[in-house]
Amino acid sequence: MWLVVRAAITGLLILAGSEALRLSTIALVEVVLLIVALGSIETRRRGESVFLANLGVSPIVLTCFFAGPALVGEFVLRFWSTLLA
Amino acid sequence: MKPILTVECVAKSFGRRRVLSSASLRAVPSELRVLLGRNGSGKSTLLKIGAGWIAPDSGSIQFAGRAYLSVRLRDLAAKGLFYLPDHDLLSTAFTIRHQLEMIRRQFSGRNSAEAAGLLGIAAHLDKRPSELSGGERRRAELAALFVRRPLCLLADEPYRGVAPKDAEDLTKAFSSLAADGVAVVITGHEVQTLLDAAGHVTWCTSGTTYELGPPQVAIRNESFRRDYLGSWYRARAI
Repeated sequence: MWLVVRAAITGLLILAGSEALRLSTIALVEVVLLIVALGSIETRRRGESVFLANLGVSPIVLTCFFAGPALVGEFVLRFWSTLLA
Repeated sequence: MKPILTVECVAKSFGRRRVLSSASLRAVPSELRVLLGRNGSGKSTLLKIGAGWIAPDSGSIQFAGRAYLSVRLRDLAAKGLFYLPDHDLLSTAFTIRHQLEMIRRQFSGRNSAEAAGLLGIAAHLDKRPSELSGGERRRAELAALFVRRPLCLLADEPYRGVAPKDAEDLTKAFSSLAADGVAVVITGHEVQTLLDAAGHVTWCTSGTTYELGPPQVAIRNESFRRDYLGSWYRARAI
């Protein structure tokens, strides 16, 4: 999900002529929050909430599940853009 | 035997509509209980409250010796409760095998292939739930239950959309769980199937519940026969 959202944001930033790979800290937090929100909506849409609750999965774990890859991806992009600069 | 789950005098309103005013529910180990009632009587709401899926406005819940004013399903699930909702439980995004393995790893449960074999869905393990029929999906959900081996099962209308043969197999599976010591509570409208399987009947009506006892006693209850079973069942029962 992070890949899709980030690709869309990168495309928009390139069209706007802004720095596409390296986001500001505030923008990075907003992207991660967006990923968590979309992930939660997708979980509900698929009707997986009861299944996850039956597994004893708390919302905090679910938030980490969605936020983790997004954070790692953003830091890799930030590191990469620093190397390129 | 002492109940593992006790829902005591709960009330619940949705907006201005009061669904439950003072309803109670008990789940007793090694017993299959059925919760019967007309559409909109609050059966599903009561089951959801017992499972911790929705919070009651008042009343209390006790599970495994601990009392709660408000509790979440994830907390009760960790202590041994399993809730089958009135919609599909399993995700359409993963195969049956993947989901059974998730449950096995989380709770050190039974072998998923063995559970699937018991429920007759071994050939469908690598399919997603969306590729299965309604009856097969119910079997897959029961396989999840067999992998989990819970202390208490609350199943909301598990017989919905299944053929009589599948319903018979589901009944056998629920009876087998109860025989293994699981406290089972089921709701539904398949009166004959449910009464044949049940050891105890709870009637949910007008926002409250009545413990009617074993099915043979319940069907002699005049109010239950008049207001729920109707004349068809009266004629058949007598």
